[in-house]
Amino acid sequence: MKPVFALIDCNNFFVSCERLFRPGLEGKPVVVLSSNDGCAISRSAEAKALGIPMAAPAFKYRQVFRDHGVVQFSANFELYGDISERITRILTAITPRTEVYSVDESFLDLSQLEITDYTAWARAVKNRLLKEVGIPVSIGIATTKTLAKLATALSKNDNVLNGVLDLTGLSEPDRQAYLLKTPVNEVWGIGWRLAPKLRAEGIYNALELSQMRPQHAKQLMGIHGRQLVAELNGQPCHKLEAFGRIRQTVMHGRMFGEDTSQFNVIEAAIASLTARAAHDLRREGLRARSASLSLSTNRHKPGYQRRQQIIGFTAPTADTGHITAELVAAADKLFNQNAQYHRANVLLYDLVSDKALQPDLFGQIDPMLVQTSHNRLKAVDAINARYGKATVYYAAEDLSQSWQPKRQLRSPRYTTNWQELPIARILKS
Amino acid sequence: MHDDLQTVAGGDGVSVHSGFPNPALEHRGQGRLSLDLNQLLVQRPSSTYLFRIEGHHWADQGIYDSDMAVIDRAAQAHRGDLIIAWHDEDLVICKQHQLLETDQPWGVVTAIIHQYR
Repeated sequence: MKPVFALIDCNNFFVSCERLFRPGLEGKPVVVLSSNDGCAISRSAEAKALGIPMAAPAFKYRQVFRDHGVVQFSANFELYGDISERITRILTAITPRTEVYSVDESFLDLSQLEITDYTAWARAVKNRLLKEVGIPVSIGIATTKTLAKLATALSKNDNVLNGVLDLTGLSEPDRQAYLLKTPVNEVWGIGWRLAPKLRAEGIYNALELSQMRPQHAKQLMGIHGRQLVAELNGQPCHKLEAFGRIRQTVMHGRMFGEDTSQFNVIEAAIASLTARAAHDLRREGLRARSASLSLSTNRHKPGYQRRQQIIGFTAPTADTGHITAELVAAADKLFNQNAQYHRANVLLYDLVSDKALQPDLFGQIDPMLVQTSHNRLKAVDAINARYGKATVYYAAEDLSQSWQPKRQLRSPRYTTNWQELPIARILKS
Repeated sequence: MHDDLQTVAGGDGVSVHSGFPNPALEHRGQGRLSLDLNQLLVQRPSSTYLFRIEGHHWADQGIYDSDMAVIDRAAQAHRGDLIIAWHDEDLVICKQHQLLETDQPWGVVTAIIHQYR
């Protein structure tokens, strides 16, 4: 059966989540800033029109924000995560063949659904998500994922298409016209590194890219490039990623509230980041064989440095205490007391399922030890799940929050916290 | 591992090992036996939102300040329904027929929860 993919992409997702509970923001420029209010990670159409680019550092645009009354939010990831799950739930009910590609994008495989008119179908899905969840989306439909992605981008900001484009129903000249309209750097998989290379070859748009000889594409961009050209020509190379796929890494990172040279602040941050990363592992039934810690100073200040330490565990682990101890020891090696640290990242990788634990070659896993640690952590997770995050924590995890990001402009956690529910005022009759 | 045993997942993460599975547990899948208010109050989780009510004007109708309202955005509003709507810069709770031309409906109130303690 010929594959048909739909990409459902939420419009300015984080901004749309904020607007859901703040009706006055419709039509106004709005930006959502990354943790520590560093840079713009989501912009409303009005903010884009003011020339505020993606990842714009807030401090550089303070004047623009002030002059144009741009409404700023600190990222509220609990809210965005909850809204994202609602959308996923609706899409999965439409077809279980759904791949959640990112927090605001999902691919659906439509080939096994009986749909006669894809445009009408997409319009109905779009209306349903807007009415039921309250989030506007754009939907592109095509025979390959690369084309579906391209169709979605084209359907945005187009008053005629109005957020829906089905490339499967088009004549060849119409399809080509759409490819011609897409600059080569906007094609999925062509980043800032490849785009200049292609332009040097005289390839400026998706149509020209699609007409490249496969051999040439491979020479220039590797196997990935050849697949890309095939996908643009409607020959699928990328399948729907199985939803149960095992994730490859767990990363938690944070900027310090203020740059710091104090080891105990860094230690506390590592403990807290590790607690969350290890909790993610346990929730998904995974363990890590390796971890890495990186400490960096402020990139925008002179003397920028970033140092990283990698750790291999003798046996796969998801034990907060064990991982924290190793990472704090690593931090001790990295630590330079003259540096002003800005950010810490904890990465757990080389993940394996805890059900497929192979005994270590030299029998270093002590089954008793694994079981005790496992039971203790299960108890910790159960208590935290019941009484709120961080009821039980490791002593090194300093909850004084001195290292927590500033997030001064964060909206209430409307959907995930009983104390922060949205308010409905009684309208006097 | 337990060839002759069946493992049934009960509520609260309790595993029951027995020769015969508890049929009641099986019927409810992962769920529990006792009644769950979510089942009653949240018919459609993906379109259900909770609000806190503010204002004293409806005490005579049994709706009090700080009560909780359950909103279903997927529900169809009918005359006489309580709804949440955008009114100027605010989200308000009102009767459907109170809506002004400029107000935009947000969702239908399906339940009001009043906690005494």
